[in-house]
Amino acid sequence: MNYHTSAAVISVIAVVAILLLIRRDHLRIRYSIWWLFVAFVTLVLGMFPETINLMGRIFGVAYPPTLVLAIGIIGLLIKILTMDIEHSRQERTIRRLAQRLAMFEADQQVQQRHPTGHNFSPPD
Amino acid sequence: MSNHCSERLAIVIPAYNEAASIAGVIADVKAHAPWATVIVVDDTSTDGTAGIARKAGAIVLPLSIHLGAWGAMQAGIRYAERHRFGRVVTMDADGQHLAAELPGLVAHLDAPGINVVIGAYPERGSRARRLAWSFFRLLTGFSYQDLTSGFRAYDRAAMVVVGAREASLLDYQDVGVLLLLRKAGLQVVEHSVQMRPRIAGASHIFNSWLAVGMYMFETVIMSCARWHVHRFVPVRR
Repeated sequence: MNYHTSAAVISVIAVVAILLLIRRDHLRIRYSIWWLFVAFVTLVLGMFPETINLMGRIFGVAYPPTLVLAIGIIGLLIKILTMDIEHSRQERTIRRLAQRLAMFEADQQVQQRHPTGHNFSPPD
Repeated sequence: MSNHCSERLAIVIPAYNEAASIAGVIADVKAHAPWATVIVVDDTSTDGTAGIARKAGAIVLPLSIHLGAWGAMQAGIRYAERHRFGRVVTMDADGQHLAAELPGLVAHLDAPGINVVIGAYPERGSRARRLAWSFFRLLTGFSYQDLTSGFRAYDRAAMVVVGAREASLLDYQDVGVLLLLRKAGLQVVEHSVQMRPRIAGASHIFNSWLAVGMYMFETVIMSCARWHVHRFVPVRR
């Protein structure tokens, strides 16, 4: 087996895995963009390793494989940071939902205790 | 002319397993400020705090997930805002804050341009805690004596600011809230109050070194991220 085939096999496995996860509803389609992109890059770099050398020449890197590692790590860091941003957004939404739910439950309680429409809020 | 009576007052009390003290605190508030509506936010207590508070005549907001002191307080403030209360005072459920101080605290809001009043009792801090406060004052440029007091009165403009989405990711009720209020251009003053030593339990923040570290870290980072250029503000006469 040469490197062309192994790169192609890895990419295909990655794409199939992503599609399976979407099919089973474990992965939001929006998030699959990143993973399909990773599979695509793997395929390109595997099929045409000359691109690595070309990039090395463009960026002035003596040993091009380190460039691949560096770009890979930077890409992962950006991905993780955006995940934390997304996580923060969700945390905010969850907290406010819990507050909102508690507010509605309190209103319901007040209404049950005073079914005649007695309300502590003044009319508009 | 003071509008003391026309502004409806809500007392927000966040409570997490405070069955021992909550009824007393509510009774105290009702004795000293019978015109106020008491809102207890039950932060997923497991000791029946919610039921006791309801029996004592409070409106209870039962949180379905544990949000911590600030998340619970914000729920109460949002509730008060939604029900068009003109003012809200936040108090601890452990009896540390005295209901007798309520009228004096709220009275400051009658002055034009005052949006928030901090019930300050800087003497309560240990030496280490006071050192931390000085550090935070230096970092934030605030001159308040009691940065961390949870005994505060807010007017409607301040309720809107601290009830907003922007305040929902805060983990503590103290410095972060003050930073948001400053950003919104609201006026905060301090009012000296007496406080009672905690009836039961210690401060939730200052009870483990890990929690202290996390609190210090979050507050320092937040103060740095919300940098503020000091300006000379002309004194209004």
